[in-house]
Amino acid sequence: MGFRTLRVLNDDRIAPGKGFGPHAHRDMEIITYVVEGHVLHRDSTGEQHVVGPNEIQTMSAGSGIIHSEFNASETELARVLQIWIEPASEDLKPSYQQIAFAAEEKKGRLRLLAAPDASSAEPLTIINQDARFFATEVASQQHVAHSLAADRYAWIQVVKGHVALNGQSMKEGDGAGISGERELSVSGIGADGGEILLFDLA
Amino acid sequence: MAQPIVLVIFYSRSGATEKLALAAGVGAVQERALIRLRRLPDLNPQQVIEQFPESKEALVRMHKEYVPPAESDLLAADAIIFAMPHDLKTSEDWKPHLDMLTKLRSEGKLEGKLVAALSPGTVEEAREQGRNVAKMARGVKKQS
Repeated sequence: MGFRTLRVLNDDRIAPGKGFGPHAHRDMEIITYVVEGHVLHRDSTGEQHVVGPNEIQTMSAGSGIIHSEFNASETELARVLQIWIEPASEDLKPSYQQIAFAAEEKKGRLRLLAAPDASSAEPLTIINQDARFFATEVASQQHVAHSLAADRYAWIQVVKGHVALNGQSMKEGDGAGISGERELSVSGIGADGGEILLFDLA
Repeated sequence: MAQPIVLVIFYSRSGATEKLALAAGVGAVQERALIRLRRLPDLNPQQVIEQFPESKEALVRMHKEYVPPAESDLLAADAIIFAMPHDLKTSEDWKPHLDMLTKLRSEGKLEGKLVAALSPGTVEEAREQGRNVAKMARGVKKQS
């Protein structure tokens, strides 16, 4: 795939004890969103962290980084969305950020998790691109709205369940690239509603 | 411009040489090479762990994270960097991999590839060596 500066959105299910061995990246903002289970991150800058649900890991590969991501458990499955966003400039110093938030913070509202600046009062990770990344869970019949500025684009990815985007129904694994729209409305449908990621892109 | 592929083959027990191998890899990536990291195997992992209990954590992790070099890695590489602990004797466990190298060389399949051995030193020095190897590999690739 590839939509504006959003290059990759991988939905990976990692078996217990398995993972991605050490490999390199250059010039990419890499965000990890854990849906279930826990992953162990290690990288060549010396960072080593376990990341779980309601946490965000943002790695800026910059001039070059080597990392591995393994399921931190020997018994539980891990499901992880890995998001690649192209940086605005090359050769940046590699960096790593991780934040945690309460599950309630994404219920019925868009929780901003990554942005080019710390404009939000809530903790977020900073990315080197004019892109904003939100997550939300909408219960059945509940809805959230997002306004896009003129000349902005959006990508919506359904993580779990069922939602309606401006009246159009979507289910887990569906993605939608949005251009030429100013108002987005996401409603939970079905018995349990759904969870989505929203990217506001230049 | 095609990116050169740099293969880093290392052996590490405590994780110290792994750090240098990673640094060499990062240096190569900084020079816009593609890299592959491969660890020479312990044929009996459990035995090595029992023999070196002080390195248990690093060994368990490396056994899980790395695969040994395959023939396809050697064929694809424009440059190969070896990173080995200097106080270590060649292990019988590596014989299949060394035999593979000998075979490929006798078949002329390693011709034109750069081969470097990482000198002992700091992480910064390893990174610099990785950068230099990648630069040279790019130069060789341009000419061919």
